[in-house]
Amino acid sequence: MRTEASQEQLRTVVAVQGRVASVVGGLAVVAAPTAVLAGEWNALTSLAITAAIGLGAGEIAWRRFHMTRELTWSEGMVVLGLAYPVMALLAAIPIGLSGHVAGWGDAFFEAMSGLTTTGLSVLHDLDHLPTSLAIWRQLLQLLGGVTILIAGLTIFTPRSQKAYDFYGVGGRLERSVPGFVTTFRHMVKVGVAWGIAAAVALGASLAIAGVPVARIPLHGMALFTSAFTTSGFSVSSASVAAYHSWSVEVVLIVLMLAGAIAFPLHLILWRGELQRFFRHVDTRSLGVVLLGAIVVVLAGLARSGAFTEVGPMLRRGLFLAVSAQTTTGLTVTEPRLLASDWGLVAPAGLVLAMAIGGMKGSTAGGVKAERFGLAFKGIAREVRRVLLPDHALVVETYQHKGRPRILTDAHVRAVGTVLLLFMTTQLVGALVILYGADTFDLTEAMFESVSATSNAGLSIGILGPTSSGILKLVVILQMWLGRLEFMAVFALAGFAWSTRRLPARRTA
Amino acid sequence: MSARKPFHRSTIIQWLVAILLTTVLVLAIRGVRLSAPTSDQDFTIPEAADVAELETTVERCERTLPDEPVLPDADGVPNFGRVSSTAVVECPDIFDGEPVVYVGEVVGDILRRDGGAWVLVNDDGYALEAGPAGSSGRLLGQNSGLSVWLPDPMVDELSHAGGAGFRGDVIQVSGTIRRVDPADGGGLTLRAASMQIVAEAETAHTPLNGGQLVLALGLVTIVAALVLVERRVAAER
Amino acid sequence: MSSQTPAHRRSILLVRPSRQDFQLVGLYIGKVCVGLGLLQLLPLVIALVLGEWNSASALAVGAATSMIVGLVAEIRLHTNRQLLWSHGLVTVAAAWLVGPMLVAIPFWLSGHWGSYLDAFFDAMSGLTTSGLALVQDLDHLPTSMNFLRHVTHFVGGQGIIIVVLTMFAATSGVGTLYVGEGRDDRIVPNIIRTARFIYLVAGAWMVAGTTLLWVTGSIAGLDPGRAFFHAINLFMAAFDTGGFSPNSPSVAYYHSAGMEAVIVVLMIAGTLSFGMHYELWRGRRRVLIEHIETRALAVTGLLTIILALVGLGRAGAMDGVVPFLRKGVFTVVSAHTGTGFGVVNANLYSSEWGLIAPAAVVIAMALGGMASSTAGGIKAIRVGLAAKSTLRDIRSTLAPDAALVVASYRTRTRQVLNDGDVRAALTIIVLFLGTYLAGAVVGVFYGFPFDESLFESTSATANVGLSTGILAPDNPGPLKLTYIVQMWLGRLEFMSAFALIGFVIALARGRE
Repeated sequence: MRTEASQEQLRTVVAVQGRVASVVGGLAVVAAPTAVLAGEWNALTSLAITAAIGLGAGEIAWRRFHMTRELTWSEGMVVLGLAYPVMALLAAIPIGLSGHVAGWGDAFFEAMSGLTTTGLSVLHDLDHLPTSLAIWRQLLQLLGGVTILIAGLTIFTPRSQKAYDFYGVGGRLERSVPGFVTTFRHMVKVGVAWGIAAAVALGASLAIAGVPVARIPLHGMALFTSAFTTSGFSVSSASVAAYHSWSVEVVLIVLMLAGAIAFPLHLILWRGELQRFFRHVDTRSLGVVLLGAIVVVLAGLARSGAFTEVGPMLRRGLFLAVSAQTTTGLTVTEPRLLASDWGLVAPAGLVLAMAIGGMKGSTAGGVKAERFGLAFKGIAREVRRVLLPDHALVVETYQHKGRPRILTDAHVRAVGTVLLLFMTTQLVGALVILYGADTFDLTEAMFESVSATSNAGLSIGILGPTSSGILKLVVILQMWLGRLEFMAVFALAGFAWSTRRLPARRTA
Repeated sequence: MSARKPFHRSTIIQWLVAILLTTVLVLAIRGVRLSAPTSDQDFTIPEAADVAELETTVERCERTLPDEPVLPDADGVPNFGRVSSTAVVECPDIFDGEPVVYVGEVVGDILRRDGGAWVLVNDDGYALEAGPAGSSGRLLGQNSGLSVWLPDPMVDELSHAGGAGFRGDVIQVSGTIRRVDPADGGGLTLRAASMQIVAEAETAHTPLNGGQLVLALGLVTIVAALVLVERRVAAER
Repeated sequence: MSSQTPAHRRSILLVRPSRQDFQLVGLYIGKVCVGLGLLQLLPLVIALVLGEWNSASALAVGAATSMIVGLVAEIRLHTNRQLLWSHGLVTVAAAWLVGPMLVAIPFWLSGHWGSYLDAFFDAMSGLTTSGLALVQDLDHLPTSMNFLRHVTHFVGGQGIIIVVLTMFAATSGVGTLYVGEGRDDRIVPNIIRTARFIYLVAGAWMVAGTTLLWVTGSIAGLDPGRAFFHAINLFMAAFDTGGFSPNSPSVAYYHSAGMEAVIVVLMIAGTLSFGMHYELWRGRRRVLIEHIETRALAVTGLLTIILALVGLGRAGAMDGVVPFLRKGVFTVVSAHTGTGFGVVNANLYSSEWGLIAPAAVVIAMALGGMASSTAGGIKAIRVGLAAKSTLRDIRSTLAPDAALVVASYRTRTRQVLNDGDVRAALTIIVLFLGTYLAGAVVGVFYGFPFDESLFESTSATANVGLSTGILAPDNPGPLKLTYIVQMWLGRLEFMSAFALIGFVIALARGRE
């Protein structure tokens, strides 16, 4: 059964995009004062242009195409899918006008990378980038992170059988989220609390590290937004290695983990219910997977002989394992060193960690640890079924929200499908990378491909400003698909396809 | 009831107008970018030519198992002379513990502590040839550099690190490469034994893009006008 | 909402094997051993005729050992109990462990294998119709021993179990064994008639295939007697999608486009399930075309061929279009059908073919042929089901919230896509992919490059047999063991293997 997009639906979708554009415009207004402070006039004018276009076109669209009723779930998916390219188009303007990208395609790439909280960069000369534009990049990460969190709470919640069916969201249909506004308030509360804590911790560590006091706010803000939204852009081309400070790295590890934790669990933490937090299947899945990643990476490092002492090995290996698992992308090692000095097992461990990713309901990407755990359970159930006398029925359960829930066929099917989609995208991406640069390694190609699809942002040094256009396009697609976990993009494609035969418009 | 809409309100005209405006805007933005003025500062460093040429280049290098790192055809010459950051990063193992010479621009922040400072020293095109991208208009890929540890007396000689609007001090250091520097918790560093300033920090002028300013003012004016119009219309209702 | 149940309760029941279960399983394994013993008599005859005395004695020892083990089992463990499904699974898994152990004996005695482990490897490879080989000096291997290698393909392909069934009177519960092999296509209601039909089809193809190969072989320059030997062996390897070949350069040995063409046809025939053969036999072509497996296989086959050709072009590996097409297409078909014949030297895959073409080959190997055939890998039906399921999900997103989207697919009849089927398919897909990866990691651990390790690992798990040169007699033992386990798991599609493991664990935990 196929739904025909009606004129009304099309108008609704465009109207909401108008709002989306206004948000980007508003963000540009917020960023503008930093350009004034830094005396970066070209950056200021480019931000002004973005603000004007965003707010202007946004408001025009919003008023012209009224939204007359609430969005249905399918429409919500379409809106979400479309929102990212729309935001990226606008956000690319300051980047494109900065003179630090080779063309508008690269600017779009950079914007998409920030908005999808990936963190792969194609900038030229990051170390000399105007400060206000560096801040703009960080703000994009923030915007992208908030967008996906909100989407996770509104569109991806089991408000309809569809979401439940596809996402295999645990449990029956239920309104587990009290209300949108309340949720948003909670989110702001939690975010601000973490922000303040981070400000203090980072401020102190950066000061100890020797960063000049005047620069601490910039670095602090950048590191917080990158770590907490699990994104990965940084102000220096050396990423976190620039600080040479273990205390900064420790704070960042905590922030990255916080970023990879689902928002509902943050609320549980906020209320102090530690036991419940640790009992939750999501926490356990992530814990197990993270531990596995750390073990593999450290074992690989030990085997490769890259480090001769335990201390440095732990420091570098741990940070990168956490960065990969939470799909953040901040790094303490030169990207090329991962290929040239870390052997083969450690980077492979990183790839696996990125592929599995963080928790659902957070800004982390990847297949999501919980799905991985459920897939395992699904297989275990299948195996048990094999061992039973023919007439018995096997029922497998798992913990969700403190109650055991039944692992249904539909659930497992949903999980399996998403897993397959992720793997296929990663594989196709790797093949394209191989085609575009055929002197490179399969492992390196897989690394970049998985990094893009999981919105991680770690790089092994292949993807950069000088990569071919096709390659960048494919990576953009991977970032987009991975962020929205495929469905929203498919919904958008389907919607677009069905608009070709719109019912005739009635004259007023 | 269904009177024909006035011509200028019909859907097709609206669509065409929208497309036209969008095209104009896109072209304007493109034009503004393409005509961006660049600074005609000369960032090349004549003194750098006095330093020895790069002697060792590395194609591709991989560490596999501990006893057998795969090395390129290094003919065992211990004195590598001046090296590039890409070579060192590509094959850190052969440079480990070796004395080298390195030339580059100090960028980022000078992290003073523990009797010295950590600096990031880039030897890419922006540092040694063309200058920061925003000023020169030349795009030469990503930054590439090494972390350098400078003991205290040397740090005092530095004036400004490179960053937004600045080409920082260009220094030449002689020192030892540490593949796994314990003082850095295992990072790849160059511990400087001696340093000399090759070129002082310079402001990288980014000339104001006049076209862009005009476009910005224009658009802001339009938006302001629209807001006023809207207020008036709402008040009248 | 306090913590009501202490930990989450699971309602599982693990079968507690009794002595009688053990007896039953053992009995049927015994029957399989007897069958294998009888089978080794065939090469023995050839050895006697050709005067290969050492080979003859080795084969005699092997045959005798098998028969002794089997007969002892039959005598001691005799029971009239019915076989249940779970017994069947366990028996199949165990048969594919015990069988190679026995067949390895003559191999090892022949002196052409470095150790018993190597001989066991080749025996497992033969019986699982994989085709990876550790034999040394294949070009000087006695004819009879070479014949035994290929016969293992035939036996393993048609199912050790079937061999037993047609030779001995069947009990009514035996139908379950057939299902345990990962093939669940009951063509004709009666299991005996199924078995007989399989032999009929195989026989017909054998006559046709061997004749054609003999003709083209003679044209290629082999003298008639040798041509016949090659023809029959190649037929068994191709039709059973095995991949052993009488000489070391595999099919490149013949330098013959004619033979390659015949072999391609035979490989494709080999990957068709017996249900498909049955329909073809009955002239019902429509079923063939509409079948989900045919469609899935056609799509993935074409895609991988295109990808391989693109990759070859990019790598500049071939001069001229004809060798390009010939090598590329043959290799991909060989990979996709799970046969494993090669037309280029193994090392060339990594050095000359670039990266995309081998990647295409790996993908083809990973996806595999049709279910209910001798091919390995994920199998076309699962690929098809997974694809349909995803498409249905997409359509479902776009439909109004209340609508129900139903998808269907065709096997011999129209069936509705239900969650249980999809879930089962996805589970196996994930298991296969995980095994491919795990084997690759082991290879990397031993110092081999990742791409080549992945190639080898996929080849083993999917019972294909193409190699990039990693597999060699001087490999570390654990690596060989890994491949052996992978071939075993892949042939049994995991479930039987898990059943066996569960059975053993339950046995160890104590009887009821």
